[in-house]
Amino acid sequence: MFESLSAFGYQLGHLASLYHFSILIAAVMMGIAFGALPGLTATLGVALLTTVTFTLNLSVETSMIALMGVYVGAIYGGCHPAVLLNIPGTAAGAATALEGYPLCQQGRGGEAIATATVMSFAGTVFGVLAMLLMVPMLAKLAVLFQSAEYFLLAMFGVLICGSLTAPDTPIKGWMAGLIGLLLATIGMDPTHGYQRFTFGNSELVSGIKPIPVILGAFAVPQIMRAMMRPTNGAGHNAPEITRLAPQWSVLKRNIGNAIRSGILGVGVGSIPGVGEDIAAWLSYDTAKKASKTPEDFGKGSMEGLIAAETANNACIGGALVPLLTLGVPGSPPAMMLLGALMLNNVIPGPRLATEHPEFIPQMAAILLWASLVMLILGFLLSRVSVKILRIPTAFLMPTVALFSVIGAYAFDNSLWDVGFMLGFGIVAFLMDEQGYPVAPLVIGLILGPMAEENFRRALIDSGGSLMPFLTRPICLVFLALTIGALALQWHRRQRA
Amino acid sequence: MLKGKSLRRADIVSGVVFVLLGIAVLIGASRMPIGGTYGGVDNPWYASPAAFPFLIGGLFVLCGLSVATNGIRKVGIAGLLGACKRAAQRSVREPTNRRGLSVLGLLCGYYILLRARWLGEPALSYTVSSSLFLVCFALLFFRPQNRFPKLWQSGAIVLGALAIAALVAHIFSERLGVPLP
Repeated sequence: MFESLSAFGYQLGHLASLYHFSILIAAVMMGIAFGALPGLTATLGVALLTTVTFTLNLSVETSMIALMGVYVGAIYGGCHPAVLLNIPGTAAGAATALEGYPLCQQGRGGEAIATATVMSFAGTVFGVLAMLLMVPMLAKLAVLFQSAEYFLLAMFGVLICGSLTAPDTPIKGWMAGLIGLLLATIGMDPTHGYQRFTFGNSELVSGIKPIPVILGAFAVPQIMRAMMRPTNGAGHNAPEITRLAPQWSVLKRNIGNAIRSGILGVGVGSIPGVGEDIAAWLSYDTAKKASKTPEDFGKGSMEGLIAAETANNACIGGALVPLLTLGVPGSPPAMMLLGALMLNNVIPGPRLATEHPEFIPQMAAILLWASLVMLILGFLLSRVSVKILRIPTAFLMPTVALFSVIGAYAFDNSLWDVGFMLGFGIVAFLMDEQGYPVAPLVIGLILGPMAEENFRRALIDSGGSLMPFLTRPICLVFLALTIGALALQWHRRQRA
Repeated sequence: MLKGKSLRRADIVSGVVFVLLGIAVLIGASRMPIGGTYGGVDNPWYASPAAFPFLIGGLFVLCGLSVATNGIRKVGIAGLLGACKRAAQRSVREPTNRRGLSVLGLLCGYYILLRARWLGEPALSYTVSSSLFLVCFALLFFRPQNRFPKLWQSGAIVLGALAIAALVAHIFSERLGVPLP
């Protein structure tokens, strides 16, 4: 623990340079703009910037500064349109809108945004602390993992993500995850070199690339949904912000609420593939149940706003814990971070701490600096965000499409990837319309190779026996967690 | 997302599609090398390239059946075809869906423009294709005061689109060294 703290301290000093800060400031600004603009998401922001960092051939350190800056900025930025327009910029800001907009109508919009800014900062710092505490413990546990454990971990991630993100029945989330796992089998088999499901197409031999899939899954449906709404294509006229400052007495009263929300945010973040939106809703719901004045919720309760904003930003640190220790991303933007790390030949997992000992404290330090920059820019840019919201959607959405197309193309200079991105985007839109969530599909695609490789290796080691999956202690824990969580989820849905 | 009975009717269709997809995966997996040796290496079922696709294909069939039967239980199979036909007719007439189809058309059109070749060379440069896409998109959806944009606004849209496309082209080709399509 002491070692990791001292490494963290060293990294904080190492990153405090003009070069790093200029990149961080630009990235956080871009993130806030992405979060503030309805229809653009944190995942899309991280995906598009990954293209730029990869094309510019930036170092891992610089790439991570840029990507983490966008991630933190975008998760926070969603609170601006949520408070000012009752339109959450991101899914994570939806719970904020419930309380933020009534506060804005009461003339307390500036106070709501300032409170959300401070609590987003507090939530991110909470996430950093949790990360520093949890990563060494989980890294020690991860060393005990063998093939059977990795296979069950990947399946646990896909199934739980499917279960928690499905808007209809959990089975649809699992099916989305299965599509991802199926897509991961396309191309050259890693063990035998046998070509599977390529249909003679040379573009498919190297497999499905995650970047066009992520861009397609998160950009095309967003663009379509934004334009399908009855609108004249103009921007939104947000009210001007007055008195941009939190009430310290309110913050002081909510310390317990903030700590509980931080814990919930980190906890949800560490569940594979489950993102900031679920953290915010869970925390909001818990705060309502624990509140002495639950009747105020929905009418402009600072308690609800604080719970949602603390949790969605604390979730970032939580999402990095399984990513760095097990190679399993904790949220959709973290999936993109995993892709970016792999592009830079950094493979997250149990060996990361030994192969790149500086990397984990560096990520924690980047997250802390990003949260500080977010806090400052959050206050400085609040009035500017009102103007950003005025950009007409009829101009904004085609520009996003333009960047998505060039982003998908730039990875391999291939128009095939662009076609795949568009085709997959249409499939993602249709799936979404029918209640099949897209996040489990992406996590299935990313975890597919890990699941398959370890499934086969475990069976080879046991001579074809399934017993290791059912007898090894960690496997039993995963099985119990998976079955318990799925049964609970199923029971709740059936009752609802 | 669809709601109520429409969603359950759609479930029957998507469930059947997934069952068929699962069967296709199982057939594809059965054609992969299983047993004996492959490339001079022992290839028992559990080590073969077909093992994982078999698992996924089987799960697809099970889950697809579950979704489809749930749909059938809720709305029944009778009237499904008629409902699908009515939904298809209605869906094209609905303004929301027309807007969605327009976006799809624009995106596909943009892709075709980027792919189009004339005597082995791109038919239109990236900047021109992208400007055309931006202009068409904006003119189709931008309705200030619910009217068509005025002449000066249309002119501004064309100039803005050209500027954005040229800027993106410059950044990616000159600064990032990406050979544009």
